[in-house]
Amino acid sequence: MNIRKNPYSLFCVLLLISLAVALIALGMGEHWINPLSPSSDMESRILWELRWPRLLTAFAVGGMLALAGAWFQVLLGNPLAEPYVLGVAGSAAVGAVSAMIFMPDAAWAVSLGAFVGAWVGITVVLFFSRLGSARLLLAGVVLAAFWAAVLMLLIALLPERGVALAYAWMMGDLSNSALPIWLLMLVWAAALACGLILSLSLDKLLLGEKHAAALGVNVPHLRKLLLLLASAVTALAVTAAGTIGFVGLVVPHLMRLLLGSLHQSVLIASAFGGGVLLMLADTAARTVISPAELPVGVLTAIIGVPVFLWLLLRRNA
Amino acid sequence: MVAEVDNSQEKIRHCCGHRQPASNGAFFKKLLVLLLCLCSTSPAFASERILALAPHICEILYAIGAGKDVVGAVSYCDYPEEAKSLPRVGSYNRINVEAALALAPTMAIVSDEKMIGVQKLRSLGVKIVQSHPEQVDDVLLDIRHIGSAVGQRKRANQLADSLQKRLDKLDASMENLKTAVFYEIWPTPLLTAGKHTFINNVLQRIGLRNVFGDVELEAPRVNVEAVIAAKPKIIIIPSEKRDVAKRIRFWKKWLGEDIRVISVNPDLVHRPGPRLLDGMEYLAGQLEGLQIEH
Repeated sequence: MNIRKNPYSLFCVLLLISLAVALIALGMGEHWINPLSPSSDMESRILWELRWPRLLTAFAVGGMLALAGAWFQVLLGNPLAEPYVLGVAGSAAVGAVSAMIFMPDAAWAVSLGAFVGAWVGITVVLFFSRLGSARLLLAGVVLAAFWAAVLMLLIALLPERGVALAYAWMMGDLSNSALPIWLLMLVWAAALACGLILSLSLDKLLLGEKHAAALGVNVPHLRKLLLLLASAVTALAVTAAGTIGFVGLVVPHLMRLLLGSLHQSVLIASAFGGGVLLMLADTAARTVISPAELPVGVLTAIIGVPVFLWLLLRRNA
Repeated sequence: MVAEVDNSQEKIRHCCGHRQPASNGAFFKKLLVLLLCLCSTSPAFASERILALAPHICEILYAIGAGKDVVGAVSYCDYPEEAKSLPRVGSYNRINVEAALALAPTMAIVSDEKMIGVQKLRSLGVKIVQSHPEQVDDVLLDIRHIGSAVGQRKRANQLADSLQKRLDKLDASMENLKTAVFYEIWPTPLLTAGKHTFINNVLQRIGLRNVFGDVELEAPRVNVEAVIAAKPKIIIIPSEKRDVAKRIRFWKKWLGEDIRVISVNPDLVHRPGPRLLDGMEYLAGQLEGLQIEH
């Protein structure tokens, strides 16, 4: 198959798959509504004002997380790296929960808190950017542990209802993104474009820093850029939807298993694959125990893990 | 134990009332016994040092005149005003046993016996009384129960009787309308009250039908689409600080101009305590003025 080698056909195929999934997911909800011919005015409003923005948010956030995950895996030279590994999600959660404590009646404050928190976390991590991969990772893990501790401290101070809200935020919620959809789609597209521009350098970096430097890559510069880019994308994803685990860890690996390790195809496929996985997970979250909803972060893992393990075994055989 | 002491006191009064003294000596002897009994029993109440380990328990204790015996409370015990200055020994899910013991309590009234630290207190000799009303009627029972546990049976019964009267009046005035209501605990994410909740029962008692009252979860997260499909006539927002005007605009957009939105102080309807009837009467009053088509 030449879609592995030809990025344009890969892009087109994935775009079509994403649109098909989006169309089916759009119809699913409290009741099935045919997206192509809604039978009433209310049905078309439900489709285009409730389900569509939420699907697009899921797609953009999923793609952003998968891209950030792929970058962190190269940057840190570690297959276990994911968008939250350096503590960005932890500091964002600290920001969000602080907002819940200090401004409990303003819903928008949570998103602002998450955004500010994420950037505080990124600023701290940037101090360690000149350390080697292993030490940067170690610093990140320790920082993540620190933020987790602060988070637990804050949760202990919350009232009972507040604890439920804090956990709801931490397990991800795509229904109330404070960021406009066009911004999220723009960030998704920009992130993919940046990834593609950097893809050749990323391939070289995958060989090791010395080899990359020998091949003409300005390694310290690239690492710093990558750290900033991946963190910024993660910060926006977390601001829009809370912390949604698993997508950023597994989707890049899944795409490597399917398409090989060249970054051009891995990044294109991750941007779409993450989006599709999160659209599917969120549709399941909306419909499985309807009228109640499940936290989407739980479903990304429940859907993603079996697929990933199956591919891992098949690949080995 | 409290009940026994109470009985003995009554017996003695009984004896004195019916038998005329045969002689002055015998009379004084009896009087002395009576005085001794009173002296030895009444301090048993006064010396009860109570920890009120939930906001509604704190409210009940103050309402039945046992406020002076409360030595400690947990966070969010904020009513009445005097309760705000009580020493705190924990939060909604755990207590600090050391801080609690420092107040030398003899009794702790808890909402949940499984709360962290409560078993430790029990093993250290503190009497544990539980009050966890799950329905409106349980609130009145619990007020009587707490009253007899802390030696304020009379005032507790008075309070419970007056609340019962108000409840009966409310029941009588309610035609069995079952107006569909959506109870918006929180807007983002949209949380509501499910089947096994106190508030679900409160809504039933004022003639409303919680549209998510058959969901088995306690505080299910729902989406706007599910609310539209459930077709509520009324939205109740348990908060006075939330931007209610914004929520009204939001719900009118999805449920039409006819939707009614009522906000209520959550402490009045969520706390199974003496102010519950205030909250229920307030909601019933608001509903009366709405004139909803069924």
